Amino acid sequence: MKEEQVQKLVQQAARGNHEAFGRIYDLYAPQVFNFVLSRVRNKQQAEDILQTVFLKAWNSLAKYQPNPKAKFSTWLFQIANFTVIDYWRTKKEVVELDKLENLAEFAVEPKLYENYDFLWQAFEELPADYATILHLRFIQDLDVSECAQVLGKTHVGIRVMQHRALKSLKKILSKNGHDTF
Amino acid sequence: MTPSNSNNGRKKISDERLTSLLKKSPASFKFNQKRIKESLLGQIEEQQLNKAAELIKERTKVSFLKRHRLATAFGTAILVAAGSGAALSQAGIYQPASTINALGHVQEEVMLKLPLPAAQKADIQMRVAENRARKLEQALEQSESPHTRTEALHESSEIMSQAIDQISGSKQKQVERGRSEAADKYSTMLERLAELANQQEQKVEELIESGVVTDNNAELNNHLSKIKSLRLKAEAQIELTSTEQ
Repeated sequence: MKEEQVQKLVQQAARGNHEAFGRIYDLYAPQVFNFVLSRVRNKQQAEDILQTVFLKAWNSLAKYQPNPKAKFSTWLFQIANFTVIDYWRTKKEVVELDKLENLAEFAVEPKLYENYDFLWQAFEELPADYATILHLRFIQDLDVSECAQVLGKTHVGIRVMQHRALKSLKKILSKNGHDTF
Repeated sequence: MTPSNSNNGRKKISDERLTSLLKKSPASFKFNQKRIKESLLGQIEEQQLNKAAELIKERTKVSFLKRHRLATAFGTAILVAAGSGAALSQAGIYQPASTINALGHVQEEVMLKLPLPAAQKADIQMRVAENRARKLEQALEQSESPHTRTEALHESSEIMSQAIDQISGSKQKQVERGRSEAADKYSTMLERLAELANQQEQKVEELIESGVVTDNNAELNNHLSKIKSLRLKAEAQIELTSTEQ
């Protein structure tokens, strides 16, 4: 769907149209869910956070200002990122490794997912902000400007963070014996 | 960036290779998209119902001082309107009371046409139905004009019918989504409408029996049968949906 059509749906939803908001959900829920799941690695919690993200989006639609430089999805990722940060901040218990689910079980293509297992394991070892920037930039395919908006940083800040994240990921892969492939 | 060589001569991963690997990685997971959507939309509707309920509470909790100020301001406005209206009515131009009443109806109609969420619309419809029922009571008891009574009878049953249809539809949606709490709030509204209809039935029956109002007997009987069927409709909606729940 084109961004113009999305913006029309957003306007309708902002006027209280549930159906339009339902269509926005249908359109973006998978992307937002995949992003959240990659951060929390627990399906149930990711589903709860997904609902929270869209509820926050509904409640803030009146404040949403369309930006010609950023898509509506950028705004949703921004909410998702803050919600995940809040989730980690308020979560008192330390997540044990055995509580992290094997995401291959829920992958749309489990076999293919398993082929990339070495990459996901390295991802888990990354600091949260590095994993977030790599996910947004290369898995969700957001450009530097959109990432800057989601994470509240400058373009330069994003480029520096991305460089450090890639360097760190390579270092972990190397440590795990996957530095050449 | 070009691939760098490691000590054992193997090519080390470059930034380009790593980013292309990340882009190709299958990061798509299954989840219950439909269930979350239903739950989300139900939560939104419930939130709106709660907001509407809070608004009503706030309105009824207006402090004495505020009420006093409002009453003074409203009284002044009425006096000004009545004063200028009286002058105009003396000149045979218009009647102040009916003008104020007509303005209220226009506002109500505008509010009913606003593209509001179902919960807020139901709340407004409830209040409009209550308002019209009150006006009907006044018209039946106080008005000397058969035309005013006929108009009030017609408007009251029409508004009541719209409110029952709208609220029943909203309740049905909540039942289908499994949101029993939100559905119960609509049930309460339907119960109130059925109660209003019942009060009107009694009033109209009383008037017919007493023979005080003779000009509108046909309309009164017609309204009585309409309002009875509306009450039965509201009661059936409460029963129907609660059985499904």
